[in-house]
Amino acid sequence: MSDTTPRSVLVTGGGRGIGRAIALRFAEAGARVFVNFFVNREAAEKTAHDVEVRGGVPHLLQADLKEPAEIKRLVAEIKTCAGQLDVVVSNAASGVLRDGLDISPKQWDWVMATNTRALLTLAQEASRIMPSGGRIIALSSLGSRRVIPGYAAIGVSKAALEGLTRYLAVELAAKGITVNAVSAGAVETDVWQAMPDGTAALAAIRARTPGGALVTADDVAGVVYFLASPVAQAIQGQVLTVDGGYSLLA
Amino acid sequence: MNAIAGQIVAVEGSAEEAAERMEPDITKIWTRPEVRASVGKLIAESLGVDVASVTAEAQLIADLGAESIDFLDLSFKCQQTFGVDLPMRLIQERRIEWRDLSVLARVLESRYRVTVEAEDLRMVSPPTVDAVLEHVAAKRGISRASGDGREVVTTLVSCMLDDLAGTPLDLSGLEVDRLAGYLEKNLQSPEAVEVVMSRLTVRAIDDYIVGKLAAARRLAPEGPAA
Repeated sequence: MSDTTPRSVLVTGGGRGIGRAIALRFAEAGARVFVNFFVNREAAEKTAHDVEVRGGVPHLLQADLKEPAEIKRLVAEIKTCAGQLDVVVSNAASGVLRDGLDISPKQWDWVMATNTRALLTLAQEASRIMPSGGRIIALSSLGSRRVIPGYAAIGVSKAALEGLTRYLAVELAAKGITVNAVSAGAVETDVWQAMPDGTAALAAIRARTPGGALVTADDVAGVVYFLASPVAQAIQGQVLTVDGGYSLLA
Repeated sequence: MNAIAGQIVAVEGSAEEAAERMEPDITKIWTRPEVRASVGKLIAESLGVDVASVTAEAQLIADLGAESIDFLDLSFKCQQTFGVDLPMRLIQERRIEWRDLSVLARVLESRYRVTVEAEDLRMVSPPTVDAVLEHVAAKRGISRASGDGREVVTTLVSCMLDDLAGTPLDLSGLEVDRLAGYLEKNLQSPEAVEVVMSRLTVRAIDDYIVGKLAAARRLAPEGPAA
């Protein structure tokens, strides 16, 4: 591990998909990686195993991030275990695929609490044990600015997350902490399999993407790792789009 | 502390206790009444319903209004409380496989010894078994016999139910003919899914948890009947 490698990294929703790729990217640099998961223990255990295989030190932490008390507990566990937290990757997201007009208050609150308020509580708690040079990186998506059918609640939660990123960035800058977001385009993960015609939708996105290739989870993980590095110290409160140019086209 | 394959191995003294607080208690020996009471409470909390409405025969979806996010909550709470995973996502994955006709593709491949793509089957309209067989016959040259359609959907139902073994659904006594009837008319029949999901009852979840605890030797033996 070099002097510039983050020593202690939390990846929420780190068991699967993009979160898993991010956890493994930090593991390759020899970091201590806290892999948070909600219900899919099997996947999280696999990721923890692979973190170790790749040279990292894995820790599994199950928590329900829509509950602030659970986040406080999670950060307290990390403090006890590692003393500090150098990088928080707020990746966990959950959603209900429905048009805005059909969303119930309960579904709305669930999505907002999981996708947006979790970042707020994480930042409040983690920044207390984060040294200067610390990083908070949130995962957003193109649905924050573009209308995707059935994506109303998630899209709005991501738009709020991007706004929150800017506020947190200003508030935490004096502590030497940067806060940024990565807005990923469509990444082929198991989330798409759960969607009706997800395979066809991915094929259409691939065809429309300049270069003809979908963004991979590793592509996103690489950008997150870059934002966590010292050379990204001057990037503050930004949303980096990682979509292969998909959103450039009219 | 390393967390590998479900084992928490502490390397820092104070961290061990802390880590254990985030892990379910897998040493507790449960009695059946304790399990029943806890399952009822967890369902009531997850679904936001009165615990009095959580009767043994209540169906989670039709009677208690459960939806996908509630199942995530319930799975989390069961893991935290019992150390038992309630594999609701497995049921969801199976539903996706039925819906995208990959189970049907498997059945047809096995029956007619030809290659069948689920994606290709999904293009067939209307989505009936007869239309699908006609499509496969035209494309792959299979020979059809009278009654093929019914046999195919009956096999399809058997495969679907086999795929659900080991989930918290109580599939005992499920009428295969009734399900086959729905699927014969519409291979993506919502009624068929509804019939299967009606077997997700409070009692079925209770039985599932009890079974898992018993397998892990964490269920207290029942005392003599009073």
